[in-house]
Amino acid sequence: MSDEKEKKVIIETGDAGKGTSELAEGANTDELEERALSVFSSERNEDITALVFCLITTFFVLLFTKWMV
Amino acid sequence: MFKHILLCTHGTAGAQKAEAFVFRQSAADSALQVSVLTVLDEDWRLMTGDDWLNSSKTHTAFLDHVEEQVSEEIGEEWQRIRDTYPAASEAVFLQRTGSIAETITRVANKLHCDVIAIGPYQKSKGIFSHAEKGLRARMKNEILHPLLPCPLLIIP
Amino acid sequence: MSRVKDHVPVLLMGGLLIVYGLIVQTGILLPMMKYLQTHKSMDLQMTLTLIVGGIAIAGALVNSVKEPGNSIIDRFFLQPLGGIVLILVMAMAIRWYLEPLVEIMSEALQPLLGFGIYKVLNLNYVVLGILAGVLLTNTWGIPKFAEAGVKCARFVLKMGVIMLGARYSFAELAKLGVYSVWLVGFFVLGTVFLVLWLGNLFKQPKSMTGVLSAGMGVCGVSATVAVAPVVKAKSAEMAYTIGTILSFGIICMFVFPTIGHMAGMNPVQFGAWAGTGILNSAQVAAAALAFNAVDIKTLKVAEIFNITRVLFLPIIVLVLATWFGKESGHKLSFKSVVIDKFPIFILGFLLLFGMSSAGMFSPPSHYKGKYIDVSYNDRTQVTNEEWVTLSKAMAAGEFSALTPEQLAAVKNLIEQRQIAGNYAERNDKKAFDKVGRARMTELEGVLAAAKAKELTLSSDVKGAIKHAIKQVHKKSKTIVTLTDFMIWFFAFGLIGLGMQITKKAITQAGGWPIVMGVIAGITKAALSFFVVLWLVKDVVLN
Repeated sequence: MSDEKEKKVIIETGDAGKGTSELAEGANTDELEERALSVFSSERNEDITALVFCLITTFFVLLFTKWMV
Repeated sequence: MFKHILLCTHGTAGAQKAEAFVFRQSAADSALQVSVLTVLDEDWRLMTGDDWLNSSKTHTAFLDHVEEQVSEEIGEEWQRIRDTYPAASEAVFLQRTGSIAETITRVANKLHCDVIAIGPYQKSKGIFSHAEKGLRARMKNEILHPLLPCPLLIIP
Repeated sequence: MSRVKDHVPVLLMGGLLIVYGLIVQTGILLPMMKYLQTHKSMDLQMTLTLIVGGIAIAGALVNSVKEPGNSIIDRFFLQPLGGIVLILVMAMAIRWYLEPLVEIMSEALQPLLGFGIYKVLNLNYVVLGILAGVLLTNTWGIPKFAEAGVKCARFVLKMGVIMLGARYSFAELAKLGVYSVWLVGFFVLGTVFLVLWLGNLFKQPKSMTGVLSAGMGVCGVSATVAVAPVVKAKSAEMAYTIGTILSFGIICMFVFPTIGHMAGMNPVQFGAWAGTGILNSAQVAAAALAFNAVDIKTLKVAEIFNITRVLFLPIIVLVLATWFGKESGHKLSFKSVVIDKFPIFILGFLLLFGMSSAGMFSPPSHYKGKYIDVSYNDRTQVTNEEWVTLSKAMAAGEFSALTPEQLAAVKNLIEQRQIAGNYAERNDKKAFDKVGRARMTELEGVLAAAKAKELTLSSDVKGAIKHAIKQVHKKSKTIVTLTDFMIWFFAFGLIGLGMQITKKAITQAGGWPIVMGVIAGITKAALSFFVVLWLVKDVVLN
């Protein structure tokens, strides 16, 4: 009991401001910061991947509906 | 009768009744140890809803702000408790993040508490009334009861 | 072997998809599909279910054997696979079964209720998809195997927006851009200041009016999330504001399309209105698709407004930061707010738009991906019944009121059974096309005259001529396929986003935010409704 008396106020908030708060746990925090709606480690990666996917899709659509017809 | 009470409060009117009761007991019985627990609902994470435009940095900044802000508010709550009840100076104050029922029982287990004290269920006020303390969501007894490691004391 | 157990649901879904694909292949389901009016998509159903089912089973098998790792394949394919398959299965079930069923049921109930539920609530697959997502999270919750995959929703929605870029022409974008900058600029700033003023009036704390004004003014929850740390909002203020905005947005998603239909708005007007009045950007896309899911005109307009709004967000954050002043303690530079937060996917949107403007998807001679093909082809002929109708009408002298050119075009249509040039000239493609197109223009003139009541034609005759014209209008296959992809991306993204809307967050609405939010939201929606009806009347979008 004496042990606990010494530290009467224990606030565990994590490192607020650095993106490592407890609320962040459960997402893939090891890479960077993403937690809500993405599997990507950063916004930039997500946007660029989306763009590349779109270009690939467009390429295949063009290939099968225009260039090969 | 009990050695270690876990008082769960986030400062609502119901929880204040529990505070008053617990600290009356502890003032009468100096051997009684009190731990005060305030849980930050992890469902704050879901409060961003269907937002898809913000970058991850903005999300992080938001949740950090929530945690910082809530901790500050909880700190004020604890100060109020200490100011109101002299017996509270002996108590241990804890803040945890998680789903409420599970966190309460986990902490009770860890601290080997022999009773958990909470305030009564309170009906949510009308939509247009002034913003009440805490979130509108209520803890579900169906979830809490099976997890209980020790008796649950509800102070009406 | 617990890992195998985790992947049973995915295996099961994959297996069901393959079985379904094989059943479709046999053609047993054709009568039912005809009843549901989905038989046209039979080929697509087969290919899609077989491919998705195959990938699901393969991925689930690998997942149950392999240790979970942190490689690129793990993170971007193996882990999200379950959720992706789940959303795809939901999308397919809704598109091919639930939506037609709801339509049929609503038609059956129409005499009883006096109105069509389907029409009034715009229960098309987009709205049903979001509802299904919301329902799933709030009843069973998102299943564990799908958690990682559901996070792909935002990514896929971004792909949808990028692909949408392929559908704009330069003139459209310029015209819409001007409208959207003015309208959005006016309403964003107007609402922000209205809320700030209301806050002053009701003596509410600055931090609360700060978050609420951003949320009501710019783009809903996104803006609230961006602004909350800047104005140091209290926890209850954030919770109530977000709850209010989420509920308001969901109500808007249903109310806007209904009012739009009742007021007889055209797609452009509705797109502009939804883009200005609805708060959350995902719900703007949903409402636009709810208003008109087949033709994406509405979505095109709404998305431009949406993107303009997104670009306004950093400005508002800066304005509020300045307004909130020293109390915030945050130092915000122009770079940290505007440049670091610039959404790169909008550059992708512009890239596809550039490719489309350069004529990659359809040559300039094609009109918005549609072109006219008057060459001889079995498919371009009118049906036998229509031919009989036209011949009889001609014999009965129904066409006597036509101009000589129009009469000649109708005569030629009966002769050749399709709109075409002169048979003798068929080898000179240019001359042949020219004559064919001239005949088509004459026939369109006939329909226009009939519509203006200058002459009377029976509806059968009108229908036959309409069909003949439609037969030579062809859509560019590239554009059609790209649009299909885009629609699927949007559907996927919106179902996934629907899963992020929890009951807990919605029921958090209340307190002062709801009072001020409702005043500001309704004012904005009503004012923008009239402004759009008054201003946007003459933007012609093809």
